[in-house]
Formats: sequence, structure tokens, C-alpha cells
Amino acid sequence: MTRRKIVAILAPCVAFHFLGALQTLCRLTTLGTAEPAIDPLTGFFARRQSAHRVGLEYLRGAPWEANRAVLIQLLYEGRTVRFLMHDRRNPGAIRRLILSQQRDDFARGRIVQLQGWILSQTEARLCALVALG
Amino acid sequence: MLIDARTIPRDTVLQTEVCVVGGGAAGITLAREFIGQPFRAILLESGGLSPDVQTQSLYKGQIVGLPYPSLSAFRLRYLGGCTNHWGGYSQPLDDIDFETRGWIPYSGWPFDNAHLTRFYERAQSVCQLGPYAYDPDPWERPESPRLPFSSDRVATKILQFSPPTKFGKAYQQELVQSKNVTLYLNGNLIEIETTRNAATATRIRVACLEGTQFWIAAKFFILATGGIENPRLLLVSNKVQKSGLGNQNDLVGRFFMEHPELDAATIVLSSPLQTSPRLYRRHPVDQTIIRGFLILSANCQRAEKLSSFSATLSPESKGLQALGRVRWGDRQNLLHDVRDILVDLDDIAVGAYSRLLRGFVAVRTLSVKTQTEQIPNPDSRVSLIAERDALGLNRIQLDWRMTPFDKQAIRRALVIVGQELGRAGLGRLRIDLDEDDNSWPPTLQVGHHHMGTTRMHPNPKMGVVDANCRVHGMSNLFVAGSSVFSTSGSANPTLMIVALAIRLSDHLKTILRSSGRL
Repeated sequence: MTRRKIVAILAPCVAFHFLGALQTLCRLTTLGTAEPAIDPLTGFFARRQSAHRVGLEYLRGAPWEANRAVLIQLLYEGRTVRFLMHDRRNPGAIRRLILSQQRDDFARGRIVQLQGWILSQTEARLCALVALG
Repeated sequence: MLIDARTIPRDTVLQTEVCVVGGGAAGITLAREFIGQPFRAILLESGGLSPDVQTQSLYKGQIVGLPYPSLSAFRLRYLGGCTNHWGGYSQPLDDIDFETRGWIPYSGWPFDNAHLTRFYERAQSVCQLGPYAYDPDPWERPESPRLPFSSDRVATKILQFSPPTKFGKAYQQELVQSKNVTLYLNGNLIEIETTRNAATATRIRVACLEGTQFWIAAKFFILATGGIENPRLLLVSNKVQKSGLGNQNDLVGRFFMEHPELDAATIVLSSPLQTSPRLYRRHPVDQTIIRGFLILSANCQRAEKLSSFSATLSPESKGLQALGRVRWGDRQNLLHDVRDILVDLDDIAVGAYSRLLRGFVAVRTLSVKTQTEQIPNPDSRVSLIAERDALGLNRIQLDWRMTPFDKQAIRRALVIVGQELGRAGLGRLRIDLDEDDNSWPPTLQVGHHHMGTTRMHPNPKMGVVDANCRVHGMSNLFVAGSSVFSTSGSANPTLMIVALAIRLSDHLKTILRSSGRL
């Protein structure tokens, strides 16, 4: 999955919802294509093996999400512009966004239960991304 | 005055104004309230001043339904009753526990919690507790803050610990020295005699295990023998009212409630604490021993249509953690995995908890023990069986039953606690409770709180006693203790038992004064 592909997936949603999105997308596409899009999302897992296991457990219950593109779309659903407007070369910004989204999940009841664990939908999906490799 | 009932000549009729049967928390509280009053009172206790095997065996009974500890092991039949092994756990019920909650059948008391405040305040002193304060505000200290939840769905409440007061030992001398209250030991109520229409109790028959029998005639009788014996004594008194006294609507013995206790969850903290959260441990504050615990707020209970829920937190040792993993199956070591994920993601919590570091052993996990409300259920009951005890009284059968709602409510409450822990960045929670609502895990424990079997309700078709604890349809027979609880809340019942006993004593004092029945 390249950034270009992700942008292609996200573009319709962005264009539909936000007038300023096209400009953002143009800026994004100039960043280059070598960096895998999921790195900012999964790169801050110091213990990838743990994330991998949790992710597998999540995907066992939601096999229809066992696809990176689907997961990324779900992770940023409704938040695309915020994501794109962040400097994607700044992992700290992504991290803050993810943390905020994670808390928001708990507040809004977007939770999943994995073997009894109450986890946010976002963190479970991030782990699923890791599990997908 | 103290008299050994075994010394009373056979067929003697003792005369008094008030006769209290049962020398436990409720009975002793009532008797103390009557000290110095312008009337006579008798406190009749089945046992002596120390445990006795023969007397204790009168408690034997049969268990059906959910597993339950032996009926003769966890009740104590000597002066002081169950306060002789009371842990001292004290807290009032919450306001919402008194409300009629549309989603909980048979809920609602005839009065609200505020009505009880002045009785609770007096009960605090009887139970040798601190000030009547159960919100965390006066108990919080900089070194022992409450968990900083970011919504009001989950809240902290305070439990106070009595020394604990062993009522028999603590108040025996007061009773012995009283001029108007007489304590009779080793005497057992075996029958409540009534008028022909069963509207008035005239006297009670008392039997001693050694064979002596005598009578006590009184203007008012109060049963204070506990949540299992109270219905038993009403049911065995069936010479006139064939179904038992107060049982014209088949309610005596029904609605037996317990406080189910479960090691129901584990919390993994976002960042290791150097000590467990102090407020949630047993500790002294201004000479009062307290402990914080978590509850669902009233608003949350209403919004989610849940029952009362409380959860205590305690550090989980590595050994216990390992045990938990084994029990859990530990397929892929998800405990460590979730912890790892949490530490990766939740660095904000590190800052929050670093303020709590106190240089003790690091705590990474907390075990969560729940104590919850069992909703009123008429099929959960005590009833008589054919087998009789040494005094010829039918033994009882306990058929403890809970409903699927009881388990669903615990699980949902834990999900909410888990959500709020995550939302506040405090940690993650794992529920250790299966999803079969029709079964309970073998680890199910009870609080040994026997409630609801002579429940209070203004309507005789819905309850055994009225708002003044008087048996419906009877003019002078009252019931004290947790058997009158309409609902149980999740609070330990002793403080409430004592508060209600004080309230009942005030009621009787008023009647005796105003009616000129002295």
C-alpha cells in the first residue's frame, strides 16, 4: 500500500466533506511515494509482537477488516482532513491525534472486547494493522 | 439486668411492655435505646455469652438453588450475633437505592434516604465510626487522591470501618446495669401466640435446650433474629394463621437477597504505580479507618438501567496474576500484550501517575472485586421443611436465586468502568466473567448478608411489614434487621440495620408515650 493509493481511497471522502481538501491532497502527493503510509500509525509500537497478537485477536472477530486499506479508511473515517493536515513526517502529531481519537472512542462507546479486555476501536485497529504486516 | 433463662420456672409468664427477640446488632441497638425509658423491656437471646455447639446447631438448614455457605457456619447464635465476626464494613445505602426504578421490579422504599440521615448519624456512634461522611471530599488528601475520571459516570465512595464493634461485648454491661431492660440468655422463641384473628400477638413461648419453657407477655414484640430466622419464626407460628403470621399474601421468606461478590476484573494501569492508589486501600484518616471504592453514579444507573454496583481495587501480586492467567487460559499472553500496547499509546497517563509515586513496590495491575445489588426476586426464598430442630421447630430451606439481569448488570457496569478508565487514560480493564447469563462462576462469593425476607412495603400485597416495620395485619408485632430491606443496594447492611433499629425504637417510644399504654 503506497501513500498514493491511500490518497486515492481517501480522496472522494475528503472532497465530499471539505472544500479545502483538494489543496491538502495536492500538498500530500508531493511528499513522495517511498514511505509506506502505515508507518506513522504503527511505528510507535515499541513492542510490535504484542501489537501483532492483539491485532490477530481483533481480526479473528472482525475478519472483514483484514485489509489494510479498509482498516486505514476506518481509522480515519470522518477525520481525514485532520489527519492530512498534520505534518505526516511528524510522528508526534500523529501520536497525539491517535491518542485523542482513542480517548474519544472510550467516551463515545466505540469499544471492542477482546478476551474480556475493553479496548478502544482505534487501538484495536492499529494493532490489526500491525498484524497485517 | 441479666438472667439466665434456664433458671426461670416452667410455665412462668413474664410481663413486659416491649419484648425484643434476638441479641444481634438490631436487637441490642433496640434494647439500648430502651434503657432509661419509663417502661420495661426484655431482650431475649438464644445463646449465651460465647458460642455453643448445641445452640448453633439450631441454625442448620438445607441449601438448594445457588451454592451457599452452610447456614449454621456463618451466623452466630450468641449475644452479639453476627457482629461477633463482623468485619466492620460500614456505609449507608445510596439515594437511588430507595427510588422506585422502573427497570427493577419491586424496587422502591416507602421513604427516601434523606429521611434516614438522622438515624444514620446516631448509628455511626453505635457502630463506633467516624463522622457521617461517605463522599470522598473530606477524606481525600494530597497523598491519597481519588482516581481522576473524566466523566461523572464512575465515582468514588467511601467505606468506613468499625473497630469492629462486637455488640455483645461492647454493650453487655450497659444492658446488665439497666434497671428497666432485662437481658435473658439461653432462651429461644418457639411460638408467637396471637388472638383468634391473628391481629395481635399476645405472648411468646420460650424454650431452653435443657427443657424449660416459659412465656413472655408484652404490649409490643420485635423480631430481630436475622434475615433467615425472622421469616422462619413467622412461618412456624401458624396455629391461627395457617400460612404463618404476616404471610396472608405468601410473601414471608420470599425476596431473599444477597450481595454477590466476584473477583470480576483486572485493571492494567497505563503506567506502573510505585504504590497502589492509597485512597482505595484501608487506611486511617483523622482516626477513622476508611477505604475508597468505585460505584456507578445514580445518573449512570438511570441512563443505563442498571442496579447498584460497587468495586474495590487491590494490588494484584505476581503470583495472583500468574494464577489468573492460568485460569484464563492465557492463549497468547494477552495480559502482557495489552499492557505493552497501553504503555506504548497512553503516555499521558505516565505524567498523571508520576505525581502519585511514593517509592514503594511498583503496582502494574489491580484486581477488581465487585459487590453488587441483587434485584428483588420472589422466587429467591427461605421456606420451612419437614425436618425439625432440637426444639421441635421446622428447619428452613434456602433457595437462593438470581436472575440473568443480575449478571448482565455486573458485566455492563464493568464495561462502563473499563470505558472510563480508558477515557481518562488511567488504564485498561479485563472482565473475568463469562457471558452465560444463566450461570454463575464457581468463584461466586457472598457477603453473608441476608436481606428482603420480610420486606418493607406500604401495600400488604407487596410486603410483609409497613413503613414502620410493623407486620401487616398485626397491631403489635414488628420486625427489625435486614429482612425488612425492600432492596439491598450494594452497601454492607450493618449500618442500615442499626439505623432502622434506632428509627423503630423511636417509633415505639412515641407510641408508648402518646397512647398511654404504659
